[in-house]
This record gives sequence, C-alpha cells and structure tokens, in this order.
Amino acid sequence: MLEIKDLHVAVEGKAILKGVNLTIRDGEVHVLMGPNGSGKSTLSNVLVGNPRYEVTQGSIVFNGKDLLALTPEDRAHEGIFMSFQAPTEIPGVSMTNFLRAALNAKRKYFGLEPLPAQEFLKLLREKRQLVGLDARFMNRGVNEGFSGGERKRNEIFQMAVLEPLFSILDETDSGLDVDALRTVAEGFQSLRTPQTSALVITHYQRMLDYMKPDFVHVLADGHIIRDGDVSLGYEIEEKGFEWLLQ
Amino acid sequence: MDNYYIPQDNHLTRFVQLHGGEDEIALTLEPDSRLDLYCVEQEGGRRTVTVNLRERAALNLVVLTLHEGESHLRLHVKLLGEGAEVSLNGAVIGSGAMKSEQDLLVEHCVPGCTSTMLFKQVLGEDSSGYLSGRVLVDSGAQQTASEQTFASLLTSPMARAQALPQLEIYADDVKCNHGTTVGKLDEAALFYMRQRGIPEAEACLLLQHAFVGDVLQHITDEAHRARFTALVEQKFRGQISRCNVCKTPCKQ
Repeated sequence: MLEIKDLHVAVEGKAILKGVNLTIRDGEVHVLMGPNGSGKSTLSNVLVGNPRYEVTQGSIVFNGKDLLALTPEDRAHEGIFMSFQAPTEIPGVSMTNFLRAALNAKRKYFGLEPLPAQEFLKLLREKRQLVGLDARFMNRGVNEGFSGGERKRNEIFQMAVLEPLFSILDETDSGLDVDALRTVAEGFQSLRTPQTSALVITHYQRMLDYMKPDFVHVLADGHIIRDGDVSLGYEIEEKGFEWLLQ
Repeated sequence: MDNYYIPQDNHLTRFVQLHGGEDEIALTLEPDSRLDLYCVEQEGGRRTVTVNLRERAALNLVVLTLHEGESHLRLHVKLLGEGAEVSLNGAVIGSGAMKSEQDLLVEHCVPGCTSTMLFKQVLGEDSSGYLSGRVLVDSGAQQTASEQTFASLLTSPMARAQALPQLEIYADDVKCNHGTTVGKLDEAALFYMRQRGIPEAEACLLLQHAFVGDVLQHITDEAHRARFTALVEQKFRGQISRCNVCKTPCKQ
C-alpha cells in the first residue's frame, strides 16, 4: 500500500527526516514511537502533503501512485486520512457542511453524483453513534467549542464518514480519558478491513493495547533506528528510549 | 434629500438596492418603532444617511457591498430617546479595483441606549476598504452600552484594508468596547479542509463565507437572509461582477 524510500525532509531549511524507509502493506497497523523532536509528526505531515514541509530527497509510492506529485486533496481522495494531533477550529463552517463538501468532493473525484441529502444525514447519524459523538456538534462550527476529547472523537468520526484506506493517527490518544480512548479505539477497530492500514503515533502503552499493531518502529533524529513487533513497544514503555539511542 | 418616518409602534422590514449616483436620506424612528433595513450596494456611489431614534426605537441595518466601483457611505445615527437601540452591520466583498469607504458615527445623546457595529471586509485582487466608526457618548448619556467590531480579511497581496474604531466618551457610567483585526485566511484551517479532500478553491470559499456569516445572521427575516446568502456565494464564486440582483438592464 505505502512505500517510503530514503525520505529526507526539511522544515524552513532545517533537515528533520534524514533517510526514512518504511513499507506498510494492506491490512497492517504500524506504530511509530520516538523521543520528542525525532520527526514523527514531520513524517505524518509529509504523507498528507502539508506545504510547510519540503521533501529534499526520496520517494513515497501509495497504491502504485507517486504520492509526492499529488495535492493534499487528491491524496485524501486516494484514501489518506490524518487524525490531527491538534485539530483546528473552523468557526462558521458547520460540521455538516464541512463533511458534505468533503464527501461530495471525493465522490466527484471518482465520477459520482453528490450523495442525496437524506442518505448523507443517515450516514452522519450512523457514524456519530460509532464514536459516541452527540448530534448537537453537527450544527456547530468544525471543532468550535469542542473539548480536547471531543475533538479527538470528531477526528475518528470524520474518518468513519470518509472511509480512508490509510489512516494516520497522530497522538490521537493524547487528551483522552480512559473511557473516551476505549470508545475511539473501538471505533477505529470497527472500521478496519483487510484493505485498510494505519500508522499510529503514540507514546503510551494503552494505545498499543488497543491498536494491536503488527509492527513497531522507533524514530530518532530523523532515522528509523529499530523495527520490531508489539513487544518492542512494551519494552520502550518500561525502559524509555535511552537504551536504544546509545 | 428624502425624508422617511417610521410611525410610533410600527415594525417594518425593508430591502433596498442602492444604485450609482448620490443619495441623501434622513430617517426618523418614532418611539417604540422598529426598522429592519437590508441594503445591497450593487453599484458605486455616494450615500449619506442620517437616522434619529426616539424612545425605545430600534434600527437593525445590514449593508452588503458587492460592486466593483467606488462607494462612500456616510451614516450618522443619533440616539435621542432613552432605551433606543441601533445595530449597524455590514459586509464588503471586494474584487477588481473596488474602493469602499464607510464612515459611521453614532451619537449617544441620552441615557440607557445601546449601539453595536459589526463590519467585515473580504478584500481580493486590487480592492481596498476603509472603515471608520466613531461612537460619541455625551456627558448625560449614562448607562450607554456600545460595541464596535471591525474585521478584514485580505485574500490578495494587492488588497488594502484600513479600520479606524474611535470612542469619544464624556460620561462615566458606560460600557464601551471596540476591536479590530486584519488578517489573511487561516492556513491551518485551509490545510485541515484540504486534508479532508475539499479542493483549495472550495475551502477558501467556505472560509470566506464563514467570515461574513455572523453579519448575515443579523438578517432576522429568513427569506431575506437566504437571498443575501445566495448573493454572497455568487459574488465569491465570481458570478456577480457588477449587478445581477436588480431589475435594471445589466451589461452582463
């Protein structure tokens, strides 16, 4: 599904990623861990085409397409979704209008007509229930007046509506209490299919428990320095990163 | 000069299309009357409007500026009766070489009156917008409440915005606020929308529409609000250059 080769990335002229290689196949969940400032969020931002990040070398191929040649919106249409670490507020653009625009843009990309209003509202209702998001949020501005936990639920709700093939969860667990994390994680798991994959960025063991990853990678100073299975994640939880950095 | 009176206890809603040339209008709202006045400036021109409000009279004004010419609106409101309220609201959507000047003066002459100003400008291409708002509170106008909000969004490097809120207060028991912002589209919001698959042009349109949305919320009548909302959308989509809201023949 996703193949990252020798990826070098700079932000405002400063090198952050210095040769990342990573392959994620259909149906796999990968967890990315690493000390603060190691480049985890840079990698996720590059995958979704954030214009602040400059790719200076390397390639990313997504389902046979050169991802770096696509606009952020076309990457979304091709099936890439990011649950943002700090989802932004968009006052005045209601959740309903926002999702209608997003969903219909995707349908247009694939040559489909806009979803009829009744079907769209039914879809929103079903997906809201999946993550326990109250109906009152639908008429508010996007993330406007949402608590930290509600914003994270809202990210997974949007993921459920847009049905991406590849999801990036950038510290989706931060700011969530135990119950909210369970709801969000169960929502995520219910959306998994043999064709969908995910890259999960986290610092915490509880996320490993819920995500049941196939692989764990450790990113430090712009390189992946260790690959392993879930036991590597638990080892880091116990010992920290120091022993890996020596 | 055209003079209009809103009789005591009458509540009226009016929609006015402002064309080119010069207009001078004087309005008097008698006690306990209310006027909801919704105006579209579809051509440039000079307009001078003077409004006198008597006891407990209320004026709710919304002005939408859509032309590509030059316009100057001078609005002078006098709150002459206790308990009078005025709500002045405007949205300027500038394109081409549009020049808009709005010069607002609200005089609180007696105690217990309320005034609000909410003016927003979205300025693109070579357009420019000037907003000046002055609230004058006379020494006898205690318990005055007044709020001024001016916000401008620049969507082109050549667009220019100026905003000048002013307070002149001679009473000591008043509550008066003002705030001004000038900025660009929120890059983080724009990227968030694009990540969800909303094309950049559509995302810009949604953000610009949202920016002036609270001005349109002051249109209490649903049919008029829908009409103004549609006009704003057409303007943002480049479907209005000078006029397609009036009955007069148009070059388009």
